[in-house]
Amino acid sequence: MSTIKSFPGSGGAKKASWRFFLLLITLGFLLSMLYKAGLLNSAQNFILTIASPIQYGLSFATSSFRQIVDSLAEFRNLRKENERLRKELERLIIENIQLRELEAENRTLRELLHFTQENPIFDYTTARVTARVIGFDPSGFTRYILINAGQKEGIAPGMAVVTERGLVGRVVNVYKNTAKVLLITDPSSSVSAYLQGSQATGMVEGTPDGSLIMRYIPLEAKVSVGEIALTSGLGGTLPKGLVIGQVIEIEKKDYDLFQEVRLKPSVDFDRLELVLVLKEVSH
Amino acid sequence: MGPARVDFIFILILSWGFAKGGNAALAWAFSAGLFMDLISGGPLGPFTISLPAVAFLASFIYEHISPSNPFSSLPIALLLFILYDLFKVAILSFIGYNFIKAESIALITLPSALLNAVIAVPACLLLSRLYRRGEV
Repeated sequence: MSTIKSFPGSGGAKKASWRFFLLLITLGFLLSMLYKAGLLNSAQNFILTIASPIQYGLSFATSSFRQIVDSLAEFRNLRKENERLRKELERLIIENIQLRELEAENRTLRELLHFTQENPIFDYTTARVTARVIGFDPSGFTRYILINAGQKEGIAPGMAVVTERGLVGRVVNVYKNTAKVLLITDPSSSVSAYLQGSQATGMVEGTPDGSLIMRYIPLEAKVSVGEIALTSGLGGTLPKGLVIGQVIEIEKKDYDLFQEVRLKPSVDFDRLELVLVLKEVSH
Repeated sequence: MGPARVDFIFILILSWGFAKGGNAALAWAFSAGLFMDLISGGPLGPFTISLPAVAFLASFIYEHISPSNPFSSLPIALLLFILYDLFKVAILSFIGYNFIKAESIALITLPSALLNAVIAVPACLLLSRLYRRGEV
């Protein structure tokens, strides 16, 4: 009975004022509109500058704690062996993809060699910035991450963010010490891509369940399960050849104009810790 | 990043709304929401507006219904979590993020609502006891 008596329903809670509530909601909407108009960028920049070392520390502590829990949960030798085999497999998959890409690229380059020698154009080199993931969007509806590299490190909107396993997303907002990265699994993300085997092109979009859908693939393209989807480089913001994911399901209807495939992302977004930001530098 | 996620801030704000209520709960909910929006990397608004709404509704429900059984907070928390996520979706749409579909709500909101409601029951009990002990 003591539990029942002590429950707040017996009249412990104070009354919340309607006026105060409406004031806060109005203030919330006002701030939201100011943010939308880009007027709060400097305020957010200031807060993120202060908060990013704390987030970095928390992220590091969480990551360390998770590693300890993992270690306890698994047998040590089994884990080591599993890890070694997994890395070997990943290395071989990536090597295989790279070799196939190089083979195709080599062919194209031979054809273009003559042209490029006569028409020198600017080229791109890729610089790498290693950044730690310091924050996730907690709502679950949008998929962003915050990384601890920003204007100071030369990060700019549109840059590709990757791990050794493939494309993570692209930078959408840059602050002094941090940057906001829109993940490819966000429903608003759209990446121009092609399938390595069939060379079919399409657009890879995020879905609410965290998988990816490649849409607008021509109906006549012969797509097969297990094919690797890569960035096509069209659109200019993302470089060509970054691994996006693997085809796990094909949806093709005779009456549709296009077919679509479901992809399993190559990156494990649940365990993102360190990422690379690809900086494109023109000479 | 899985579909069901524990939202500790929601549980804390809900428990406080149940236990103490009042304008202080609203002010804390607003501050917590603003902080969450600013540091999360997402757009500003969803948490800043939704959390005070949760605090207000929690306070309002317990002021008018006054349930005697502590487990009655389970369906209330479940309902409030669903409303909380719907508020967030509505605010995201208002901001211009129109990519959330009905399947997102089924995939993300419902499992999360159940998980958070289950955790909210002991949290509400604990916080209300602590509050009352502090009051005496």
